Amino acid sequence: MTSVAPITMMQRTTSLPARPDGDDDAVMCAVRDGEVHALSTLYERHQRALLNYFLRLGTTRANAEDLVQEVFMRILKYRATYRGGSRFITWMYYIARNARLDQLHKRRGESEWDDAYAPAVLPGDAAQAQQEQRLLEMAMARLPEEKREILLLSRYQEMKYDDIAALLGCEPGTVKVRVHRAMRELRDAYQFLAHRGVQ
Amino acid sequence: MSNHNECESAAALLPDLWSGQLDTPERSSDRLWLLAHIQACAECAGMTELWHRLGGLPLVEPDPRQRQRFDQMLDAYQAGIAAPVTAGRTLPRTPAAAAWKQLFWHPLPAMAAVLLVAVGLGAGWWLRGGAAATSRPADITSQQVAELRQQVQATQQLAVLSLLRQSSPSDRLQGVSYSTPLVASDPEVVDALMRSLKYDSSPDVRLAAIDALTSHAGQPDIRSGLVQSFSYQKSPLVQIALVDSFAETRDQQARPLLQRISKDTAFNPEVRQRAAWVLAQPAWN
Repeated sequence: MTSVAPITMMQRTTSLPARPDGDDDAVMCAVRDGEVHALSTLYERHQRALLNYFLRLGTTRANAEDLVQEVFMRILKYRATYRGGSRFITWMYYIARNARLDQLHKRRGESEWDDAYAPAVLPGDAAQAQQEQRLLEMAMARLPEEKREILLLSRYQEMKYDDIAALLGCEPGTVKVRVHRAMRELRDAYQFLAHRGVQ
Repeated sequence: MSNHNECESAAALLPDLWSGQLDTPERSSDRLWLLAHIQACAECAGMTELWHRLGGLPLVEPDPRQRQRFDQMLDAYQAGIAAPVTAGRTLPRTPAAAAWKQLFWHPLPAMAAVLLVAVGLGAGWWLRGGAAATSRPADITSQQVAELRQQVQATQQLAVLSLLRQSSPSDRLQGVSYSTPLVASDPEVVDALMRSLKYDSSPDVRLAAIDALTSHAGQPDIRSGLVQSFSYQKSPLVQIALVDSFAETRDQQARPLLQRISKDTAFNPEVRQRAAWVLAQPAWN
């Protein structure tokens, strides 16, 4: 059985084609200029990465889903301020970081870590692979937030060091140094957990 | 076994290797050197292997219901854009009037910026040297500084009010953005934002006005203004943003309105659900 293609779902809210072939910047310019339905294309492209970004930063599943919706609502809200020719992904993660900070501010005092969130393991994986994945997830969770975030942005979000530098307000060289330091700390945390033995 | 200096050199290159930036002909020598180093260095090899394993961690798939939620939000937004504005300024519609408007209205943001710069330069000149003809800098009284501050604030106010009157939604959005430092102390700016919230033809501007006003909702006038503005809203997205604003400010005077919204089937289901959700929060009970 085949699954429903995303384009079919996209057309639910559209009367015009949603420009699925355009790059992010072109699609966002169309959204800015009134083709609001084209946002569906960007949602399809980025919702998964955004969801996992929030989850791996320790947000609960329900809050992470709310945040993804919030990011796209803010994109609509501030679409008139988008400047063509810039990197959409940098702008989107700028919004995402602010949305998360606002949510943390509103929910301060509430526990954020979702204990129920565990890495999904594909059926058939060997027990050792499962154990290593679990160790790596736990090692990531032990990193300070800024180090975890820089690894998330560079490893999972398809962001170049220049984009991350623009997002964080620093030089690309600084980003590389931070990535290396974060990896070294991740390796130390991983080795510590492996040596101690995880239940 | 690799030496420490080599590892330091490798540290500067490893992030480039991981991100694929060494995969160009110009950097092939760096790549070859680094790969040879990794062969000999267990530490750098371990980190590189960890980087690859990090990329292999499974990602969580979004719940398909989130897509429906997004579609509803987008529908609500599009309905909001299409919704008629209850009342608003009518702008010239003839080509001549439009040209006149372009000529005389569009330069206002630039003029406002020029005015701001001029006031800043004038103040600087006066403080540093210009005033020296009649008095020394040490003679500048706190009253004079206060007067200057007032002049700068008046210019800021002029810029904000001018921007909020522009025909371009981007300019008006900018006006709302510039208004933030003035909202706390300038009733005229608050009035202008309230007018934008009620009458602006763009939902984006109204949403931004809600944000600007909500951040100063400690003021009773602003709180009651936000509640009153609800009856002017046709866009479900703006209605939801206002409901969220009531939730954020925990404004008890909004309770009867929220109760009405949650029960009135004339409202969009999303708006009703949001109002019901807010009323169910512990802060309201």
